[in-house]
Parts: sequence; C-alpha cells; structure tokens
Amino acid sequence: MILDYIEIDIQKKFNISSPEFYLQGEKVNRKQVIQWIDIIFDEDEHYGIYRWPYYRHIKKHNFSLKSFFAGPPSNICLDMLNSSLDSIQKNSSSDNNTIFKAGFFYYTENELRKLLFNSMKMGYSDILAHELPSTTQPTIEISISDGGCLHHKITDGYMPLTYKEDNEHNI
Amino acid sequence: MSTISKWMHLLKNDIQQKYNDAQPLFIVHDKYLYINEVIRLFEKENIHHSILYKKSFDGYILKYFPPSPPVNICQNEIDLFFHSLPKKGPVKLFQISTNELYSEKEAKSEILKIFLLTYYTKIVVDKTIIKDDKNIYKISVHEDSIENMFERKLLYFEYNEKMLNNYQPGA
Repeated sequence: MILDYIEIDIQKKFNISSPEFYLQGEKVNRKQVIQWIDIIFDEDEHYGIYRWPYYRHIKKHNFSLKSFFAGPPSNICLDMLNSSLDSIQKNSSSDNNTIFKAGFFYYTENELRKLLFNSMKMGYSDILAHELPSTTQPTIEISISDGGCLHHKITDGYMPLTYKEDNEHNI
Repeated sequence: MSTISKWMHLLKNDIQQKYNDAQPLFIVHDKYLYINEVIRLFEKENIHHSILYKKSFDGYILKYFPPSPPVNICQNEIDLFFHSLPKKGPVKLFQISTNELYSEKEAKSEILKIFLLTYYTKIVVDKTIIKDDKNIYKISVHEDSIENMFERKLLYFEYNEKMLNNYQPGA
C-alpha cells in the first residue's frame, strides 16, 4: 500500500511514527488518505493525453498531501534505460547492426535511447522487447508502457516521495 | 487540413529554405514518397507530428519522436505569463485542473511539465477568486495551433545530415 511507504519514509526521514495528514487544509483520516491516493493514481483525465503517475508532496509537521505531474529524476531514468537495454541485448542475438522497431518506425540504438528516455520522463517505465524474424539484420521490437508496479516505482527511485519543509504561504 | 498535413507542409517549406529543395522526396521504411503520399500514410497510421528528419543521399528519412519543445523557450513564455499578472495585491495561489492549490513557484514547474510533456502551450486564466486574503487563479493549459507553435519556436524540425551508408530499413 502506498500509504505504508509514505509512513515508513516519514519515520525514516523525520522520526515521526504517527504522522497526521491534511488535504486542502483539512485534517483527514487514513481511509481518506487512501481514497485520495487511489484517485491520484487512477486519474488519467487531466490534459487527456497520458496516464500520469503523480507525486506526493508532504510538509513536515502535520503532513499536507499534494499531487504533482510526473517528473522522474533523469539519472534514474538513464539507469533504468541502460539496464533494460543491457538485459535486452544479453537475451537476444543482437549485434552492432541491430535495428529496433517501435510502433511504425525503425530506429538505431542511439535513436531508440532518445525515444525511450523521453517516454520515461513522461511516466512510462516498463520496457518490453522481443526479436522479430528477419533475413537481413537482427531486429528487436520494443514497446513501453506505464503499467509498472507502483511499489517498484517508489523503491526504484523512479517515483520519489518528495517533501517540502518550508511553509510556503500556508498552502 | 489534418495536423500531420499542416506539419508536413511546414516541413516542406523549411526544407525549401534550408536546402533549396522544392520537391523533397521522403523516405519511410524503404519507400520513397512525395509529401501527399506521406500525409496519406501517416493519417492512416494515426501519426500526428514529432518526426526527426535525417537527410540521406537522396531523400529525407522520417522517424517519430515524442514532442520535445525547447525548455528555455517554454520557461520564457511561462515567465512572461506570470509577469503579466498584477504585481500588487494579495498572495497569489494557483489551481491547475484540480482543486489543489499551488504556489507561483510550484505552478511554474507544473505548467512547464505540461508544456514539455503534452505539447499544450496556451495558458488561460479561467477565473480568479479572492478567498481568505489570497488571490486564487484558476488556470488551464490548451493546445495551440501547429502554425502558432512554429511561430513561437516551440516547434522546430530536427535534421541529422549524417549520410547513413548502412541504413537498411526493416525487412
């Protein structure tokens, strides 16, 4: 449960074992926090294009919950991208001539990196690959989705729990 | 006129200016196509925009990439919008599509993410409310036309002129 991760993180960072949560200035119980988290992570209607994982923004002392658009750290995206591509190349017969098919188009490895990195910054983190039969050169088909497990996204650092400690305008 | 049609005509003009090439041939996979054939194909494949253009020996290879408007231009436009708001008066807070309240700094960061990730770049103040000595701006961000985006330099064409000796489209 996401709330468990938040509470463990608060305990670790602030040494507070029973945090109290506020939404829009109103104190809320655990059930209401869970409902809010469910809405945030299931919501995909804002701006109608992408399904957005949201980040929570929690203030120290009486923690105020707030959601943000996806914005995973670039270094984490790069690490995840490198390890995914390493694993794809290890588990296939790819070589320097390998081309990658994503959707309708074909890409070189460098182009694929650019394509996947941009997609990961948007909140898509699950890369899938399979080899296509080809008579001319090794071809790997790639797809990327946001269907990843939220727990892994948090523990991998892709979806960091962020805190703001100043009390900016009492929001 | 469809989005891809507008996009391709802007590209054709750009190629004419840059390479003095009035009848460019485009390469999609291993096929050589004129502009109207590309438009028909991309309309069928539901491809709207964001294509990297690689000038090869005898044509322009088209590939899809997610939108990536230049960050500095996005930031300048967002700064200009915030500068246009009244300087004096109560503390300003912002709502962007949800009920959550953001400080000016947070709102700038959220709007930048919308610009970069959705390609929506037209900021509109839907409503202002004075509440508890705070001035709350309800904001939404909308899609701008391809032509305006191009004028605003949020949309540009990327060329890679490296000769692709080994380019072999998927079999």
